[in-house]
Amino acid sequence: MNKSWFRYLFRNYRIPVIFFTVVFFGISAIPLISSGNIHNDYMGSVEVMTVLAGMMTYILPVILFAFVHNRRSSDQLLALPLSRSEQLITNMAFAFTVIFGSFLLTSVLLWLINAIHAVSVTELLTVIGQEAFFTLTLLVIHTFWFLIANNTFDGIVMIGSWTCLPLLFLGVISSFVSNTVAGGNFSDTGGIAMWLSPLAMNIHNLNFALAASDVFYNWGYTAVTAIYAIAACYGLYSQFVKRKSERAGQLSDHPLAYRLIINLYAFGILLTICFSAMNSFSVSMLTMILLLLFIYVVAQFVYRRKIQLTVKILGLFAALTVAAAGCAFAAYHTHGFGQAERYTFTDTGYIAMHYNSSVSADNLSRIRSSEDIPEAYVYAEVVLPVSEISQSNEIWQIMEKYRQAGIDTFYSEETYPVTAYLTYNNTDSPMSYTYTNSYSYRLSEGISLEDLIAIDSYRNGSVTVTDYDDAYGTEYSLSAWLSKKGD
Amino acid sequence: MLKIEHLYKSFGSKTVLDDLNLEINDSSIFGLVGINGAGKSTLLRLIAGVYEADAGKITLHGADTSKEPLTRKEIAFVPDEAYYPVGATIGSMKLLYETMYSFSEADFKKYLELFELDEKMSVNNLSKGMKRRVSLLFALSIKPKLLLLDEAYDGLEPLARLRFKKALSGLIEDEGLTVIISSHNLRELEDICDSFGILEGGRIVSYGDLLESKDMINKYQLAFAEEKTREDFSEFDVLHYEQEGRVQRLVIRGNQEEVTAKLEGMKPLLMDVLPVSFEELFIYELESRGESNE
Repeated sequence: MNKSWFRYLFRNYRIPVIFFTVVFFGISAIPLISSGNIHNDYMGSVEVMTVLAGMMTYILPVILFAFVHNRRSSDQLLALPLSRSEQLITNMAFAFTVIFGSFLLTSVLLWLINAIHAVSVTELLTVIGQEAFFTLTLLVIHTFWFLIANNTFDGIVMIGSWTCLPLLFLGVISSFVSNTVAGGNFSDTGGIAMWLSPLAMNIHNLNFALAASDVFYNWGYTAVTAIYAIAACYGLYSQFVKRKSERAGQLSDHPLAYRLIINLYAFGILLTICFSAMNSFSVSMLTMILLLLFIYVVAQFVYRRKIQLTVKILGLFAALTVAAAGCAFAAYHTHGFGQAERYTFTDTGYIAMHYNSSVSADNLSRIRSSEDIPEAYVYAEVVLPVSEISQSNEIWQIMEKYRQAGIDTFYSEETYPVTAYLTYNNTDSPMSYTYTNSYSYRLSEGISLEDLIAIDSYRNGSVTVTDYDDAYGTEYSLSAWLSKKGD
Repeated sequence: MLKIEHLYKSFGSKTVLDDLNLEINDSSIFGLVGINGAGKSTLLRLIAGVYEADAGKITLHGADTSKEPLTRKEIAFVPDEAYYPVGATIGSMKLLYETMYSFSEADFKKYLELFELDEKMSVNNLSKGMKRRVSLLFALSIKPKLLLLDEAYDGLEPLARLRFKKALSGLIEDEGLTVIISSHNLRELEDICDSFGILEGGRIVSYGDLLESKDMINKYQLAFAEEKTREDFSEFDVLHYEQEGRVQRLVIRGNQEEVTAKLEGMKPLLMDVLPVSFEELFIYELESRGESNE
């Protein structure tokens, strides 16, 4: 670190820094005005501080490193008598000091003023430690994203694009699961997107530090965020210390910039559309692809600063479309790459299976269309201890039979007026309604009466039938219904 | 002494500097000339540390400027288009130079007066020429040992140029300042430079003392009784040849007395010897190289 440069940065930015620190303190103190629980109010303040600090990890890299994107300013600031490494480290240290310094000052002051008796020192230190990690890692990563570009506008676009990329990934996974995987369990695949977002992982762990309920500290997130930050440090070395300063003001043609980002986004959106098309194709999807092509060409314009509609660009888009369609086709015809066949168990003790269907009053296994006037409605529930699940378990066998039928229905070419659903959830007690790991299957045929009786007779099973003879419906147990019908 | 050894610099597939070697003595004003795109600004940026060379070494008084950044405290670089932060005043810009260089407040005040500037002036509102003055003001205030002027001299009006020249003379005499000036205005360079270098094809193709070089190249206007062709002057190092009737105009490199004696041996009816300007020297050098390349 270069002390002279650090001193210059502080003196040069002293007014913005003072302004930011005062605003930081003022805004962060707002939750304390509430006359609620002091502990929660203080943690609310810390939450506000975190949001402000997070915003600054985006803003400060732009302010401090924009000079490399401009030939005039790089002529002046890269000719200074300090090495590039010193300049990089000093800029990062300055940014960290401003953000974390404001956080530290505000959090400690507010704690001393208002929360010293309500928030323990351990909690305070946990929050401060997590915030330091949050600020440092995000600063490094966002600076790297900013520096892969060759001009300030592109740098800001890069920060935004890379930040939002996990959301695109989430959308792709969501579309894949709901359109190509029978059962459509999103919970164990959607979490993958979290691992791609240093911001999301940091927020998750900060929530733990803020003592939010049912959120657990994830050391995996800490480790992966640290790995991203270390990779970004290496990236900063190549993008700043070893940077060819003649890149200033040029097109951003770094492999991780537009060339990758545009195609990643295009491919992600195409995948989302194609997965949907596998489930239910409509002409509007072709319109969406054409619209995406238009956006793709506009993005190329933003990248190259000139309108270009070359065979190469069109060919690449066509190749991405074919690849996405091929991927979606393969996903659908391999039953979601085999995901549909499996059922995962979380570490909870029970699996709760629910069945509900609009059926004929004369035959409880005959499903009625949602367009028909309802006659009766069957609701079945079975809660099995995970330890009892085996091939020999009769109830499990019965439910597995219908789950397989649900999988077949999902991939069937025929369309059914489906109103029967079978859902699987993990739960921590037979009486609990807190479910995780949810799977949902549509059935083309209802559960047979014989199987409904078996379910009803199971110790953790129940079947009810709602009769829609009258407008409001009357609920019966299965045995009462059967007695009523004279079976 | 500034020493540049085997310097290479490429932008993508375009080689700008190709095994460039140059030595510039202390207390001299070196005029760096070349056609557009010859690599003058690139060379100055490499010396200033803005660019990094692909290969080669630049040393100032023995210290490698890229590996020992502190040596850059002694280098002032004034680019063709300098950077002025939004809302900056001369006073606010001073902070950077005060903090990072061996800034002299007394010199700053002196040059402020010399260039008729005021600390409160908002730099972005100034004219191009006045902005140039601001850049030169800071460049001189940090007491450099090496001053790099990339066409920064061109925008000054005559009076300011005169004042600047005087200031430079003082610094060269008192502080041993070395100046490298890149400019397209060769007439101005001729007035101020004592040495020069012509950059072409990524190399310094000709360099040395300006007066000596000019002495070695002269324009000869000759008329002969019988018709002569260029071949009749093949024993001379002819940089330029033109003929109008029986009158020949030649630019010949070589000791003036020796060349004149030889030419007199050819019995001309008329012979005039004229000195060449720096601009002509530059043109004829490049012209002769173009011909030799062809």
